[in-house]
Amino acid sequence: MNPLPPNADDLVSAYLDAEATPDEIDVVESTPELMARVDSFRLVAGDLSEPLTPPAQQKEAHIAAALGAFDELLAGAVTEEADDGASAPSSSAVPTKTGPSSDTAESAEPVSLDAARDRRAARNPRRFNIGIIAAAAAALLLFVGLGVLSIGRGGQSDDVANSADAPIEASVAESMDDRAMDDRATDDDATDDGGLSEFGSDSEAIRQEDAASPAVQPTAEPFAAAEAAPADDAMDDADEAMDDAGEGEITAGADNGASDEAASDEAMDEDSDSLADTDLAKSNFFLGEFEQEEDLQLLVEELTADEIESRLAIAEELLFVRCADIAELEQATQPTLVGEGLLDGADIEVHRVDGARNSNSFIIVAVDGCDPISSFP
Amino acid sequence: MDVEDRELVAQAQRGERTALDELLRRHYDRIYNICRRIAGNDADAADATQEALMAIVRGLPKFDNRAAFSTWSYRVATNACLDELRRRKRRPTPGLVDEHDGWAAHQGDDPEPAFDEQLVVRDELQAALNQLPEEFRAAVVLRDCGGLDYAEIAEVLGIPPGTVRSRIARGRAKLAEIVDPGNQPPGAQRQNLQS
Repeated sequence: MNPLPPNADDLVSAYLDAEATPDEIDVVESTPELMARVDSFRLVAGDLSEPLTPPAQQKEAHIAAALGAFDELLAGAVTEEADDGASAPSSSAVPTKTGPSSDTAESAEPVSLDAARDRRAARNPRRFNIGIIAAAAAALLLFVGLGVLSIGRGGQSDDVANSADAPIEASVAESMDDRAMDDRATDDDATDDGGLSEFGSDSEAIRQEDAASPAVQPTAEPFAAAEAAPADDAMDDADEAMDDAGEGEITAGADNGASDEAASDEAMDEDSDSLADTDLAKSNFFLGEFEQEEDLQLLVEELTADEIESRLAIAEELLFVRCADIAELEQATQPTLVGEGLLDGADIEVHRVDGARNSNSFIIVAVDGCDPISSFP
Repeated sequence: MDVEDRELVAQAQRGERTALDELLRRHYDRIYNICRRIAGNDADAADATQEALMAIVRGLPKFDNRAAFSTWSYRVATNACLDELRRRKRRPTPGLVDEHDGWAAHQGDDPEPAFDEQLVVRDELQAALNQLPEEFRAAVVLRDCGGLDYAEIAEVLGIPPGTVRSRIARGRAKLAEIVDPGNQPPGAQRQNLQS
């Protein structure tokens, strides 16, 4: 009698599930002991597949509650659109009762729940966005070049030069925000805002500015095909910021101003670029402080594929992953840490659990003890 | 079925309440069964099922039909159940058997289950299932209750298909042994045969 293979249960189970290879099928069917085992497994599987009937009252209550949540989302979307007025006429569709449709999700119009998600996302801390930051860096470089050119022209008073700083810097910063906000920027907007004197030299300033303008977040992707656009959007943001920096150059030319002090500041900025980049990456890696798991989950779910990859790269290069050895990540073949944060006052890490196909699943882990808190979606 | 699901998903994403209602009703029983089997008792199953439905509603806007709605919804349900189990772990219940320490904890001298535990664990198979570690239990349940194939289970659990196959096999072997102690695993049979 031939000895049974060491993975006999694997073969038997796969055979039962029609997942065995032809060779494995031959082995199982030619071995009476394994066929007996198949019968044993079949009994267990058969018992398990017996449907359990949910309590009818519970079923109705659960579905009603879910529909209630759906209604709230829709109501939120309507309110949001009313608040927005005509500023974003095409960003989200008003909830409509449409007739039966053969449209798939890919071809559907932007859906009505978008606005509600945007509204919730706007309440969350600003998230890391490489596109915007890259645009800021590009604009800053142009600004530095402008300063050098202006110095070359010379002959202007410090007062004039100093007065030119704020509008230009504000113009660059404001332009990025405003371009992202439905292209509503005007030159007046930029010159009315004299803040952000540290823009470009202080990563915290950028981060705070980002946090102060949540509407910049590219979270308004339509449900369908939402993942396709972010990279292009980031490039567009950068291009537009470059264009606006050009507009700033014209303004500076009109004012004819840049002082030695400003040039010195910019030189210091360049010296600290690499360190600032690192700090910026680390600080933006922090997802924020959350009281509810749901809010954190929403934020992470709305990260684009590019943003997730950027975060994974940052974590791999810059950060110490504290909870990489949990069971849920034992199969991971790539970096998994997507972000850090505070959930109800406790340090947490968010890891991506590799999907077997093209989908992401995440797990929130309490750093203290590395205990998994929740998985989603 | 999937084509109709896609239509319902699209309609629900456009704000049609009736489409969502139909979608949830269509999949409720399966979701409940998965939650009931994984959670191991009615109370946790009810909480997990409710949470799963809420998560489906919240996640529907991002659902892009790359997977079948059924697969995705089972994934959501499975995560909701595992989360429920984790929450239960964090709030110890004096007097109840800890069902989730893996099967090693259930060898030999288990205390007599409390009365409410006896009510909760109604059938022998469920009791056996409750003794499986969560990751094995989830794989077996998704296969036998959810009817998912190995690739789909791999997607749901975020593990390779080979691991799915192994977990299901080990889970079933343990279930067979618990339900029928005379049911020897092939390893034992092999030893007997070789001796």
